[in-house]
Amino acid sequence: MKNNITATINGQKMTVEVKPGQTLRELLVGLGHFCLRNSDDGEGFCGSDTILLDDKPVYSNLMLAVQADGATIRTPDSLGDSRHLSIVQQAMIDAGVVQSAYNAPEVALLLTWLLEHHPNPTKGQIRDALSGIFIRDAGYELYYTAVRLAVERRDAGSYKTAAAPSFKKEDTYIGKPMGKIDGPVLVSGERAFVEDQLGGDKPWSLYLLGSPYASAMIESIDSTEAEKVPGVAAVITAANCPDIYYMQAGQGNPEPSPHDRRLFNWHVRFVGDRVAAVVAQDMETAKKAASLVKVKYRVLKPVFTVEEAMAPGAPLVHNGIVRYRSGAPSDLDEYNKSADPKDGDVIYQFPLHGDIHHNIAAQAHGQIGDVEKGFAEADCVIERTYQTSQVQCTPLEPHTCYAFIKDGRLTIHDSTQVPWHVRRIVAWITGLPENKIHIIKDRVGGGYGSKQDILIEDLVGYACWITGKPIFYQHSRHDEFTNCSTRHPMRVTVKMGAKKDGTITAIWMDNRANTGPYGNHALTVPMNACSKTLPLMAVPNMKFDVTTYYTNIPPTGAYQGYGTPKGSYGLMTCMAELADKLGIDYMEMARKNHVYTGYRLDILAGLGEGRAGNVVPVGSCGLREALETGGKMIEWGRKEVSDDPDWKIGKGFAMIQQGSGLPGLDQANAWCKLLTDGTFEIFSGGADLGTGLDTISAKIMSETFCVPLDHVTVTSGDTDSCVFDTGAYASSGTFFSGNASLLAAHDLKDAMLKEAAYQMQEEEGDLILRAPGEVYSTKTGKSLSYAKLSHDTLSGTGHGQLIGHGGFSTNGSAVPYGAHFAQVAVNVRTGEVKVQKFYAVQDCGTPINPEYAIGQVFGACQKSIGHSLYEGMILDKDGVCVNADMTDYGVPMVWEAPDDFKVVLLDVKDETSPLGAKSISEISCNGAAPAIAIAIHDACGAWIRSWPFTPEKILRAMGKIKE
Amino acid sequence: MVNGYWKPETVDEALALKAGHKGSRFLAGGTELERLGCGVEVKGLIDLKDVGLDGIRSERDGLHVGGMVAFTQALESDLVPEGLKEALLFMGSMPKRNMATIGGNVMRHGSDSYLVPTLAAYHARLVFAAHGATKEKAVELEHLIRHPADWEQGLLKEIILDPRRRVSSHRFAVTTESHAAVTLSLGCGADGGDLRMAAAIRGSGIQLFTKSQELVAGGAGRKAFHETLLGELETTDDLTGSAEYKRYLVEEGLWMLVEAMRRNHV
Repeated sequence: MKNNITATINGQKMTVEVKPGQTLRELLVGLGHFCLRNSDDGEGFCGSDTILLDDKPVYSNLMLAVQADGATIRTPDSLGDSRHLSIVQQAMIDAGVVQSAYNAPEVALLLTWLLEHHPNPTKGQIRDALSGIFIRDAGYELYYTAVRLAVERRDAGSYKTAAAPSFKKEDTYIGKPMGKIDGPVLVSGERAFVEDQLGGDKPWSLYLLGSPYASAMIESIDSTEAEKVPGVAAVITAANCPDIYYMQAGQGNPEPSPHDRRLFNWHVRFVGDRVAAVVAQDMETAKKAASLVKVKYRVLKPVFTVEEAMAPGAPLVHNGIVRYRSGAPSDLDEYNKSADPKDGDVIYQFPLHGDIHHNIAAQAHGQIGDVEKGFAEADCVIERTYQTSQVQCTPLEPHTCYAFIKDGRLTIHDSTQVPWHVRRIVAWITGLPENKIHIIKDRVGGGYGSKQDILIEDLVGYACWITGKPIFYQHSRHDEFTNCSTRHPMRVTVKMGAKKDGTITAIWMDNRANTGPYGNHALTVPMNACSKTLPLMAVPNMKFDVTTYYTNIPPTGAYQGYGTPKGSYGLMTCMAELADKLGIDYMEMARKNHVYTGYRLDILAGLGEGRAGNVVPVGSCGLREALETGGKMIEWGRKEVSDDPDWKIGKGFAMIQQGSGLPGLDQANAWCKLLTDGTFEIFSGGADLGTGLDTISAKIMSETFCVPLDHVTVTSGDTDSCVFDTGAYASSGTFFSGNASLLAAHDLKDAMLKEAAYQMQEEEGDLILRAPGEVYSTKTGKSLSYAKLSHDTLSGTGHGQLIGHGGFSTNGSAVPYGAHFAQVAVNVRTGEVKVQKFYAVQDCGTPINPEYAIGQVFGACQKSIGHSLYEGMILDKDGVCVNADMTDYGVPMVWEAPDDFKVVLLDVKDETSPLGAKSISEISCNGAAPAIAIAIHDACGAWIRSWPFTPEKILRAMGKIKE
Repeated sequence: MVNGYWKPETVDEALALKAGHKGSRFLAGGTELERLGCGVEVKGLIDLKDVGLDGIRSERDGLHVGGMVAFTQALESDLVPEGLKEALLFMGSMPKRNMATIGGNVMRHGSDSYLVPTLAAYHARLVFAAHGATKEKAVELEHLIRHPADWEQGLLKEIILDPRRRVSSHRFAVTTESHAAVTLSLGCGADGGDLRMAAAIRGSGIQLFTKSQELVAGGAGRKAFHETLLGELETTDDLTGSAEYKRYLVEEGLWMLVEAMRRNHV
């Protein structure tokens, strides 16, 4: 095979050596173009490997390096570096699309190419340019804005269009579209992600041998021959891993998830479950050694559905000894009499009402009022059951971490949402104290909840510590499907009764959730399906039952929206069905029954997710405004008629809510300092997933100290330099981490004013801070620059460095509300569905980064349109996932985006939030499924009660397909 | 892993390399052979980029489209008829369209092929060159569909089709990037005669419906078409849908194309 090629790469002609079988992407990465990523195992789907070859966009993973001989190649990093951005790169930042950004450089390249060929592109041309790139974070809508901005700046030197609306007139930075502080590095493809931290290091590899069975006991495992392979550092199995039980859910300690696993278990519980990990000097050696591990399995009968798990006599997924750290029942010894100690312990931090003898991982029940009385009073009662599927997060960046030992400490570069939970769990497993572990959260190329769970760091951290070798580990895309967090499939039964006029008299919600083999989020996700839906309803009689079952499907965990998308689908669709049965307008029914400011949410008493809930009245509530605004936009009540009689058009909507963090559970901290030249650094415990949390911290500092954004540097998610934060989940970012940054800024401000009063010999009350970065006396007119202030306090006679610290926790919550509206066209002959319109109307208080907030709403809605219409993991009869790649799994791309897609943010002030902001991202996952289901019914009369709403299901529901 | 790579400059050279290297395959665009999950064992690749098969020209016997013409190139050509462009756009990803070739897609003749049903509706002929043969050989695409063992004819040089035919196609897939459950195509001559119907049905391969198309050509109604078609049709369950669903789609979808043709909308 040819050894050398000559190609022109980014304008430079060069001759390079190629290896047999080397892909063009591998060659280019080896030459330093590391922003070419592999998001799809070379499937030619995600586009993270896009380059221009002879002026045509192509996938570099689908070409051999040798094919590029004689070619002219442009890579994304040729456009501009972070200090010298191109017009397109800057426009992308300003439009709000550079979020998790794993393939943002490739998009920049595509849009640059587009504008070179079509200087004033149509929407269709933009869509075609984006047709080969998978965007999961921000959806596709704002890319039209990015192109418009780029064209305007190219032609006129500046923007004419506002990238996003502005909020909070009185502020300079808060509520204004001002870009993203990490945007330049991300869009230009500079070092940002875990895999970029390797530099010249040659780390060791870890290969995971997984179970071929959905349920089996490992009778024996012999790694002797594997360990002898030259270049192998260790083989870790159930036989030699620490006998420490923990769970992988990233939650506050004590966690409301059972500790029901070790690093390796004797009972493997899903296809792909860990059997052995081989650490070797390269992957080829590791795989070879893994093939020599001798495993004897006793295959057991698996269960895959809630129905199978709850059937009398069902095989047990867990049958070990149950222990409690607190709240043990009095009959625990009796309960454990039938336990198999080899099966592995199940340890509860506190009672979750689990019953592993019936495959129950957790339960919760509660009610207000008297639902039976309520049903008896109703003129019409219906009961419906809805089923949701197992849906994958599909972050562009697979789970990745890089562990090594430095200065006698275990250091892990990690793509994580929860650095402090990672440290705690790695400490448990390794036996190391936390001060010997350093977690560095790098930029995260997509998380959406899946990186709230500690899925690889436990093993990689342990493996690194016992071998002393640096280990880089990245999931393949296949691993992301089979060994990663997914949504909990849920069976939601709703019984609802109402009077003739639409007043709902009672609601009963029964959630049966499927947690898979381990109980990550087993209580909290299914409870969330009730706790973020029932409180939408001003109904005096409501009851909920939540039961979560263990099964042998691939693992579940956290995913944006948590349990709410499923509960919302059930509750809102059932309400629409009831309205239909009563013959009344569904919008009227919603108006009649939704909560309002001041309404006391008694239902919250039982919905505390493992502890007593906090009953509060509804605070700021934009629900009615969202209904009215969205209803007007979609012209609710007006029946649309298509020109083509085969297509029927329908409309639907859903009321939604979420929370902003976990009151009484979450805590966030930050600290900041004034540097000697008058600039600032802030250290936030928060984990920016690409959502802009770091920019929020920077804006808070800029606003407080009246300095430009580039006078502030943010460090976040580093367990050494930053201070504790629960993590980026449950929509806590802005509300908790942002408020901690605000408190830290105010604390520093107080310190600066006190010191300035001393230095200026003025009264503190006469001093203010002002642009361009000085303390000013309103009494005498004297001013003192921050640089001088800092310099003098750090002198030999000074008082010391000026720093501020803030810690935020609260029992209050700024609850976001909204309504999502959908108009669909259904082909009544083929079952095809097109989402023609999707309007997301949400009250978010003051969005600190409006353009990024809007992008997140678009992204979350697009994800939810995905789980409603297209997505779902499919298992065969043996529990093997048969659609574990992007093509077969079915994520929505640009062609699936709604034709008319809008986000409207309602500025509803919230008094509980010091920043005035409510969360915006998780709530946006909650509306699509019910809105689209209701719209489909409006179009063709078919109620679709299971995800995804495929054409086949629609045709069957319409009676078009006979068995 | 691919251990051999060659880049011949003529068709004959390419054929000789194939004959001389067991386990090697012709490389067209690479979107299938070099893709994850392609399911094809490849030891060596013979790159056809420079052998001169990337032309599109109009001749008296029809439109000649070289086997190495990329999807994008065909879309940009004024010579390529709209019916074929409609099928080329079934490949939703623009970078893939830049790479994928018409010949490559035809020779994969997969059960979710973007182009084979449409080319069958165009009554296309495939021109092959074989190692050691003095003349190239033109084979009707329909013959290859009926006799899958005959696909191994050598190197596909070009496809000849009648651009005057009126062809309409439809692809049924959950998303644009998903595998299609069914891709259908219906074509007729410029005068409305010579009806051809074809389908690519995931899991069951590419199928022709000779009796059904004769019925329709003779003016038959829905009922007769339905009964006859179901007798000619094979479907199976898979990830893209159930056998019943695909049967329904083929029948309903083809009839929709027939209705449109009869309304002269093709």
